[in-house]
Amino acid sequence: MMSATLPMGKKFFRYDQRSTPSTWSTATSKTMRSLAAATYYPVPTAASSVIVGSFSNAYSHLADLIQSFEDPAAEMHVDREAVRDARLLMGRLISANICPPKAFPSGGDAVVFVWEKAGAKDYVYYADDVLSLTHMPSNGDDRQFDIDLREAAALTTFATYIGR
Amino acid sequence: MNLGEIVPDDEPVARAVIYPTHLPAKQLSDESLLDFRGDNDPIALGEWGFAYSLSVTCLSLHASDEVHRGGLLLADNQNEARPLPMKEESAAYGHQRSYLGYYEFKTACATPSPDGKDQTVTIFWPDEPHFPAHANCCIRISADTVKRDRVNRRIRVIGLIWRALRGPTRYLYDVGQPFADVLNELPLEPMPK
Repeated sequence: MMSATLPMGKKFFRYDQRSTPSTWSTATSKTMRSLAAATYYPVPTAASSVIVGSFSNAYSHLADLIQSFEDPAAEMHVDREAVRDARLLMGRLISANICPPKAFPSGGDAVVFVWEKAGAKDYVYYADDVLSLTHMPSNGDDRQFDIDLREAAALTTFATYIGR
Repeated sequence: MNLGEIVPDDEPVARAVIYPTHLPAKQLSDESLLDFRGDNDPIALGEWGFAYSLSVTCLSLHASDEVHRGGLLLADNQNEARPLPMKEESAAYGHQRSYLGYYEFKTACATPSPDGKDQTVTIFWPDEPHFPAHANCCIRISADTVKRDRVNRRIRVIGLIWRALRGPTRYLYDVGQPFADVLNELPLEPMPK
């Protein structure tokens, strides 16, 4: 089972895609708390409404960028499904007041969101309510896991991990 | 070396930076430089189910000046094939794509996953007569993978390559060339960080 393959010391473990969503959530929350405890991302401190205001420009640019990927003539074109998923995730990030990511197109069928902090990168791919997080710090202790956003606390936990 | 041969993974390859396609602007991430695209060519696929390719130049076959010449020609070819839309913001660089230089990496940095369901190779793929040192860096993924798995495997490889990038080796336009002052001042992220 996935939860049994979660040890923090194991590099690049991979969740079993057949695992149940409830197992993902429990395991992921624990993992993210551990990463956050390593002073990776700050815990949000300011009022959410103020933060949303300061993020609005960046999210506006992100929306424009995602729209540009939709153009079939664009060099960085991705398919409609990928654009839809990227917009859905952006909506969830805004609703949780999460600091805005950067993004890049991948393979014509995905939009990947990126956060960078202290030399580490977090890459996120989202589809079907599940967010795949690839954590790549500069020391090579890379990890990859899934977060089921249908679980009630999953987005909040993710927000705490990434920062607001 | 012949078409389809695997380039040794310890040989450096160059990835050209084309402005404004690759230079991060606003919320576009640096990794847009490494946009591996789906590739159904049998050479790219080999015995694998899926392949995603990225154009590179074999540095061992080229002097730096020749790599730059290839980059300039690449930008010209793209401008001819797909002219940029005439937007107000692109007037500063003449509504044209421009070559800015290159980053380099070795394919060996993209280690395969422990489960053996992906590999990254660089395949020699000359495009005569203008790009004799051209190659495709290919991420190959097993046929028994679902889309999410394939995307995650690509992300991992892109992250590994990004972390291993060296450069940039900048191309500087001569004073007097159109838009030289603008293009020479564009910031390129020094790598590694």
